Amino acid sequence: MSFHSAEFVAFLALTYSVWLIVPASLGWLVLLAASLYFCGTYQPVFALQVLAAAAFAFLLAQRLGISTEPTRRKLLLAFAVALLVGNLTLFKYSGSFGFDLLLPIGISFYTFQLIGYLVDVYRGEVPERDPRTFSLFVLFFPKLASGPIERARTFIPQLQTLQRFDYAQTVAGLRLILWGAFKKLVVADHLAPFVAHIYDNPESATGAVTVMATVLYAFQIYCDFSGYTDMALGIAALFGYRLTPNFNRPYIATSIQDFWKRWHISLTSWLTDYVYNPIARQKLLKVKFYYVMLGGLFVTFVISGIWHGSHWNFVLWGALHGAYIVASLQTQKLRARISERSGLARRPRLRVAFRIGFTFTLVCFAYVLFRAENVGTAMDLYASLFRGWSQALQDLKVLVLINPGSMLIGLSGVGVLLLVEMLQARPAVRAAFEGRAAFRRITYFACALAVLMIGAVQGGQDFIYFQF
Amino acid sequence: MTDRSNTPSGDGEAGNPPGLGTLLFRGGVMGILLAAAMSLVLVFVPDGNDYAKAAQLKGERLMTLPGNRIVMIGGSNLAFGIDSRLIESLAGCPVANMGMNGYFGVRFMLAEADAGLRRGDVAVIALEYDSFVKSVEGSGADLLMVGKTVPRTVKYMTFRQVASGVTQIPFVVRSKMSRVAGEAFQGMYDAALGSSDPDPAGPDINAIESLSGFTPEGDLVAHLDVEWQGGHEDGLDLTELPVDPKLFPLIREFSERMNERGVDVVFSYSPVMRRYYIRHQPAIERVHAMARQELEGVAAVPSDPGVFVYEEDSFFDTVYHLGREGREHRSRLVAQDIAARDPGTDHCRGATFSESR
Repeated sequence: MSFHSAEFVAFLALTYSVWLIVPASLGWLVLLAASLYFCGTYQPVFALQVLAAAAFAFLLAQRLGISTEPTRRKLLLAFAVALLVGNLTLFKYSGSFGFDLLLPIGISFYTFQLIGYLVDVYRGEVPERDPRTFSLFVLFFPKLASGPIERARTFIPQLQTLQRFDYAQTVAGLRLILWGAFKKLVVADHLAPFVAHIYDNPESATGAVTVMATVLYAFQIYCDFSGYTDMALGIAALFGYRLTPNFNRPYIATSIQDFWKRWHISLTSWLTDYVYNPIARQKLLKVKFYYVMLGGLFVTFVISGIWHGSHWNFVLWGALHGAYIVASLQTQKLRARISERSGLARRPRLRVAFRIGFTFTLVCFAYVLFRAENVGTAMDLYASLFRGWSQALQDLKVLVLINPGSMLIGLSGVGVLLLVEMLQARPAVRAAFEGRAAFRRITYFACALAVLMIGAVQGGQDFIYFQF
Repeated sequence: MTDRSNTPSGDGEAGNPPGLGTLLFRGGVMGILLAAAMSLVLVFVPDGNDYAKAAQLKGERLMTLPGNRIVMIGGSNLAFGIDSRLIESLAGCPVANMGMNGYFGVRFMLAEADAGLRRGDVAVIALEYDSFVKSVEGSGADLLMVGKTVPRTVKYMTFRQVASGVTQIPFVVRSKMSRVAGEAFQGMYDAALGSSDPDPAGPDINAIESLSGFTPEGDLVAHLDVEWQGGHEDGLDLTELPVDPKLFPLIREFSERMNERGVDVVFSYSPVMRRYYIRHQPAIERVHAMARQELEGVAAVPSDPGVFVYEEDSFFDTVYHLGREGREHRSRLVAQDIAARDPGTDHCRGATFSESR
């Protein structure tokens, strides 16, 4: 049940109505029941699966909380992490072992959330004692399918607070849902067929169309995933909860490090706290901190790749991003010298523009691995970058003519997205927007009209990150 | 636990926070405005073609044609594959061909014809095989299209069909907007870089399936001398899908009502491409057996479906749409079916046909 399906709209309307009617003290019950139902719509067994994982983590955290013996605590944590990672591996990577199991919805997300929670308890945070609150912490339906990966210290206190209807928060939630729907239906789903056309036929791709399809994919996946996240945040806001923002205009990043501070923020910060930091603080390795840090960064990105899937293309994608970061740290001085000699350093705006363009190019180059079916396909597409440039215009024309209407709508949507993100970054514009009710309402109306009239609902796609 | 209920909100109205009522009111106003905007697009942005207007032409002919008539009821196999004038010359009665391309559902087709049929008429039902396995209720989008173009037809729809049409409004609006955007983009592209498609690969189906392509009798003739360069669109896979259980009871009920009114009912078959027929022969024979059994005593089922099987070169763009040659032969077969019904009746005599293909 995707957020943009009619079934989900009906489900949400019903859940919200019941939540409004029942006493605030029973709000948790409505949300828990709705979350279990939401999970069960994919496969009833998925609801049992996530409940079992939550129950296991809850009980183990209680043990961790009362245990004082360091070795026992370490063993308990190792046991819990091994079991949760084993569970994730079994379902997510079963294909690599020669048998295919249905991937439970959101398993990558709630597994990381539970591991993070157990590590926090191990590090001294007080475990949650109320199983109702803890169940909702794991199962809360807006974030169950694709995150954000919430932290107990920020989300559980909200769940412990009784929530009721709040006009401002509800309106803010509806705005987010609308904007998320715009990104998903008006931009991502209109661009998807063009990307698929090239990535499904790599043998016939030429340089221009591979570049075009990859740039379109950059916007497709951004609008798809951030659209989902906006809707998740918006739906949570309707019920009074504030989830972690996952994106902050990633394509204006001026370096790969900057990109990862802006893209899938909840995963990046999770990996930083629970993978990179423990490696970087490792005192057993008899090497300089600098090299431990580089190694830690590389390993963290490889793990990020593996988290996305067991196929080698994901591993290579993570490794490539790790390599980008290691290379950028290693070449800092060299790049500063080049910048100085070329005169870029004296033109800060041009330098920023150049860095944004260069970072975007690197990100897109890595997307080929991410989007391709497998490494072989990715290599075919990389090879295509060196052919067919003499017929670039003709090839692009063929691509556009697959569906000129979708291309116009998708590209216009990208234009609107960039404009809105640019304006959002200016506090004065934001203030002016918030202060003018009529203008604000016209904007919402136009956005809703665009979703209803030109959103690609028929033949639309599920959210890309649902597969992870 | 702390209670955060009724926290004063912003929205620039300090001291008097808006509540749920305000939200519902504002949401309602926005909903009404959105519905109005979509209705405007639905009504004022033209359809991709004017094919649906043919429903007006056909309806008027059915209502105004004097004397005993032959009324053809079915889908596009009749529009593309019937020569009404030939049938008239053979059967001695003028023809109103109600067949249209589009999935309106058998319930709507029968209701539309029912409104105009009268004593002395012959109703010939010939459905594409898809119609046996699809729902008799039709597609909301197609019903919306015909209802919007010819409002009179709404009265032939059930409440459920009207509701399903209304739910399709956003989709129809979207497809219109997508088409407009496509045309705009192509226009811009052509203006900037020259014609994007100077040598179109095949005939424009929208130009063929248009109101001007129909004869006054309701036959589509615009395709007759056009060489179709694309493949033939296949029908549904009958081996996988069961016959809609409502279908034959609906036709039986219609036939009984017609018999009481003095209208003869003939159940004939759509022409079909040989390769499709061979692949689905067991399923088609099951349909035929059901037709014979379910319609016994109320409608004539004179021919086997195998009689209406044609080679690939007789067809236009689908496995059901005949071209010129097949159309003439099939029309003779239909006239023969009309002649083969209960010989006791005195209207529209029909004609025997022994010409071999």
